[in-house]
Amino acid sequence: MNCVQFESAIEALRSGAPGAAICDQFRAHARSCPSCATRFAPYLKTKCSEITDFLADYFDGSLHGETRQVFDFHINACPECRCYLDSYALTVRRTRELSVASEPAPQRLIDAILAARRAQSN
Amino acid sequence: MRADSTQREQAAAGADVAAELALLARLRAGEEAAFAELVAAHAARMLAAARRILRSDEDAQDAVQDAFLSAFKALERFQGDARLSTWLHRIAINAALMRLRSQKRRREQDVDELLPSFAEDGHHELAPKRWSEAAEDPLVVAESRALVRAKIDELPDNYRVALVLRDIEGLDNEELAERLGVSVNAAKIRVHRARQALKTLLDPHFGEPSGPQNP
Repeated sequence: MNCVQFESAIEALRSGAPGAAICDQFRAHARSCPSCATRFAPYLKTKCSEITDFLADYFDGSLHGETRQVFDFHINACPECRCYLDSYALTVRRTRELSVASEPAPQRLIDAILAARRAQSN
Repeated sequence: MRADSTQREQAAAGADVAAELALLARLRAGEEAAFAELVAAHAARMLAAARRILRSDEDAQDAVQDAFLSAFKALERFQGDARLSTWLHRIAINAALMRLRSQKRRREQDVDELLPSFAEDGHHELAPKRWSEAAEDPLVVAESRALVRAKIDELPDNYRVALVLRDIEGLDNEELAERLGVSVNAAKIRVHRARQALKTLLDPHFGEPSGPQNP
């Protein structure tokens, strides 16, 4: 892999192309090319432990700029983080689904509130 | 087609606002039927929110009653810059939080043991579990919801309430921070840790036996 192919591989992973298979190739290139290793250091050095810290911002839609690019790259290159992201997303989704289930309020409560209002206004 | 649909939506929203303004006028005039209408329309959602915060039906009903009485007193000051339903929902949340705080103080607990752990090189120590997609069978859906609800209730109060307010009651980060009396960043971190802890509690139920498979 040369420098141009290396940059294309980074771009492909950032934009979501399945690319774990090329990870070994570009890691090998980064080891042999100090220029690419320096230029793309955030992509190569960001750890899974740091990526999980960005999840809340990612779901809030507030992950922008290079941080977002590094996040997208890592998620597409790391099956473990992809898996963690997916189950985190399902956790949020299943929690949000609880907001739709609602039983009617008991008539006893409605009557008590209205009686308390009458007492309040007298 | 899309323009028609947007126009219909705008017309419906306009009609809702007009109906709400008419109801507000009747409430301010002290019309008994208007209060009955308001309570009947909004008590269920307010009670559901209070139940999720307080976990006790009796306490939740008391909180909803407190909330409505506060709202009735504040009707004159209601500016109409939010929908009535949103305004009442926020008042119910405040009433439930006040009741929760007035209860015997619990020591704030952490959820460290439920957070993911990482090796020294920063990689996951244990491969995260892949989850199966949500089922569509109504019985399974009901069971799943009951399970998620039960696991949320296992979280320490400080995390549980943050999660409930953000992900179920729909407060944004700024509102959440205000309700919890913490900075926006602290509120975001608390929700994130609560989600991670909940995910760990749900892993044995929704996770498939094997970890991720490399392509």
